[in-house]
Amino acid sequence: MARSMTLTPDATPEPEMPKEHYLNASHGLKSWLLTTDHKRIGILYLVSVSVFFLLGGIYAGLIRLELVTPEGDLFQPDTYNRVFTMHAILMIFFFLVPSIPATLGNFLLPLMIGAKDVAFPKLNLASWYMYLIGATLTMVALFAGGVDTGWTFYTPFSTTYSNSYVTTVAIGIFVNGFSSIFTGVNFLVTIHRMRAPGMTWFRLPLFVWAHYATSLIMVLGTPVLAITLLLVGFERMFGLGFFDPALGGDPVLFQHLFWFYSHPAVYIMILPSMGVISEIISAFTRKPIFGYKLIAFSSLGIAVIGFLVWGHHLFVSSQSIYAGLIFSFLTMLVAVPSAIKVFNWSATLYRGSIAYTTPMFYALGFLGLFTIGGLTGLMLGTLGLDIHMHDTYFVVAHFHYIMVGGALMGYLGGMHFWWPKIFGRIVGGFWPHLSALLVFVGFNLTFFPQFVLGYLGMPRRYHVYPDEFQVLHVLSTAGATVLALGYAMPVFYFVWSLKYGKVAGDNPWGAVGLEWETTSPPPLHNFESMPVVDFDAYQYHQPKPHSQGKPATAPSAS
Amino acid sequence: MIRQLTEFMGREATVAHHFETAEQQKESSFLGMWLFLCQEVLFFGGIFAAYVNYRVMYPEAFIAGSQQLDVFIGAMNTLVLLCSSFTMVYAVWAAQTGFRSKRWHNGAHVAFGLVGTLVFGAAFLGVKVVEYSSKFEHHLVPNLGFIPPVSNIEHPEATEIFFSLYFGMTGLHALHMVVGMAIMLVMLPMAWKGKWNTTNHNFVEGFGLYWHFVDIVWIFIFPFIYLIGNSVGKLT
Amino acid sequence: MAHHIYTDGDDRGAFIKSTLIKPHFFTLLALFVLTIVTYLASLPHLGEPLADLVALAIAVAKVALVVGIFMHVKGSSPLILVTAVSGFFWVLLFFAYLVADVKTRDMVTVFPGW
Repeated sequence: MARSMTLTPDATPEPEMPKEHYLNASHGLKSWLLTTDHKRIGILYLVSVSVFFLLGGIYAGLIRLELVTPEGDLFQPDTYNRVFTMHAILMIFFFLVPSIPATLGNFLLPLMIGAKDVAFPKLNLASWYMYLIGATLTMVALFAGGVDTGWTFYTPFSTTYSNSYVTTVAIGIFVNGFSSIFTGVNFLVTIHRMRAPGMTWFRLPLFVWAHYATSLIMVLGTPVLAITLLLVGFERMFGLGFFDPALGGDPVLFQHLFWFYSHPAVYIMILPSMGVISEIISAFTRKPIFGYKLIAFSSLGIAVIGFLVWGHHLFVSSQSIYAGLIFSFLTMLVAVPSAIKVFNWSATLYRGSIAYTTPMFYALGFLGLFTIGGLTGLMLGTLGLDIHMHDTYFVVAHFHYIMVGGALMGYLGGMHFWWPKIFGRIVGGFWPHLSALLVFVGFNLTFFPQFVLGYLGMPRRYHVYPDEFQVLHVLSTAGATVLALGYAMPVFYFVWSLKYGKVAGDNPWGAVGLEWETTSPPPLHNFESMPVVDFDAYQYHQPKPHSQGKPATAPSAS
Repeated sequence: MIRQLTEFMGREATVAHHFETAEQQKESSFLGMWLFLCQEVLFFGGIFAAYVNYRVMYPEAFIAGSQQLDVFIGAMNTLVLLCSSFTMVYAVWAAQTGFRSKRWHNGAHVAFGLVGTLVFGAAFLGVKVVEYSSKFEHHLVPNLGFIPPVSNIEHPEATEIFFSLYFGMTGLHALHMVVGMAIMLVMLPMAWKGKWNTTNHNFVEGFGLYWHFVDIVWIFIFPFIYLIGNSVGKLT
Repeated sequence: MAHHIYTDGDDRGAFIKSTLIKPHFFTLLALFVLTIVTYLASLPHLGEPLADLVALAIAVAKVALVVGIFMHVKGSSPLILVTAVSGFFWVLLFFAYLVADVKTRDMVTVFPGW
């Protein structure tokens, strides 16, 4: 009953776990650490990424704790610098960038296009080890005393003045960058060359399109960050004067180099999340997605235009005002494809038969939070307004709405959506619903006050502040507590479900897509036989063109 | 370790389990290699961008810095590197076509190509070492007693930025060559044994692409670093 | 160099295998000539920006030869061509922004009466 329209798995006879699947295909630590199976690598990433999310979260908690009172009573100023820097570095480079692509993307991409694996399975494993090496170096620096430059490593502070472990962390991020590049190369080749017969470009799920765009940014952007950090490292280690102010070094050049990667990196974080949202919304409105091609091309549009807007981080850095004008204009332009997506998702909801499942809660939360984050982004992209709001909490609130409210909501939504596929067990009911609610409420309580704070003039990266800001800061910290609770709960019920969760069956949500045609968990080589695709993506409530029940490919002919 | 590495390199003799056809495997490996080179272009692009930025800011200092370099040696080294690219082409060609002569088997010709590439590569690096050491003598190494070579220009101190970029760009280029030469040393005995032939040459071809890319980087470094000094007469 | 005709059933032309070493040898000669030309052209101090433009144009020609013939992009699938060009294009775009920024950084016009 892979394509049944009902949502209750009970309508069919109690499903059973398949006898052989990728999880029990081989055993022992070695079978995991040396695996080339994209599904297992996805899970390796899931575990490691979760660890760094926890660590980054602890640092976030420390920041919020310090900011409860206007005085600096928890940390020395320098310690506070290290705390927010480590929060950002762990969260961005070791959680958000790999989060969806390396876990869900790794797991689902070959399944969705009907391939046995990604194009370069060994490179895929190498990518995870690169991640581990980079993470280890960063952890070494962290235990030795951390970094105090902010995650942006702005020169000349990072090259000439900072006495923290800049070089170690820079090398850590440099190595980690290769994990990103390997993933990107792998995905691009996989999507180009590994699609099953009949899986044309416009039959691809939008999740795949989103990952295509993401991989483009990974391949074209990450090496620029790598060389930038290498230059900083060379300057610190060998005294080569790339950014030395005494020689006439140009700090704006560093910012250009840094943001050439780091602005598109935001799209590395949000685009996969957008792909997840497309899948979830279509599945739980039981409608084909509205404007498929527009959403697909808007992903590419975001990737391309998103590369050309980095200068809006430099509006007050003595960049040429003419460059500022152009960057401001292009920033407005990148809002267009993003808005197209939001409109199309909303249009998909219209008159859909909406099912309020946990993934759908996350998706709806995403829609609201991403819209707020996007619109405040436009405010910041406006050249004149940015001069007032630059480096205030307004910016902090804005990018958390995108990176947490957008990217992280998509990640959690996707986890809840595909968990039954990954482990064959259902996660649903009261606790997941509650966690989605807590995350949404807690998130808004944490970050909405920061918009107000920033507009009133509270600067970023300060651990002491005037008394009149205290109410808003306490509100924010209270929200962070709720948020932490919301994030902690999934850990427990996900782990619980591994043993006690109800067996999911092939397609517990009644969703369409190749990944739902195989067993849950999938067999070692994903499909019993090579799938042949004769249907478009998101064929809900429309009879398939060649309606012979299910494709000849579905392995479990129950 | 070496044994596993060699197994990995010669692996494409059969089609890996996740590919359907050898054709698909070949196209995948080439696209993958080109995408890797694409990121290499961006990687070097970053340091070239720094060069462009400072070149526009301090044109005189950059010309003065460049005038401390020997254009003739740079040109000769370019020719050496071009030769190494040709011998690489020869190795790939020999593997693709299965070319053999009366005296030598096919694998030997592949190996000859690699040996030629190694020799020319080593010659290039040797010249580089000589060039670097003369920089030490003339106090042109940043942070190690650097003395601006000229004084009657705007921003003579920025010549140190030029030499930082000189060492950064040529150093990264040389590093890429060293990595390539190390891989070639592992490849040599395998090539001799005929590991790569008409039916199995994806790895040599992929490696050839890498080596040609290294050549391309130098083709751009040569005018950027050496030739600009000749655009005007000697600055003092 | 021997003429060795080679086919392995790869008739899609996705990756042309040159059957002769000769064209590659001529390419090498062309690269030699271009290198010598760019060296000689630099001797008479053409002045900026002419000297830079000549040097760059010759470098681009040389790279085109290496990419097109040594790296077999000529005759490869359009996808490979696009991949090969996109990296360079992206870097060029970056350069263009950088130069535009540096060149206009000091051009702040204050309009009278504002």
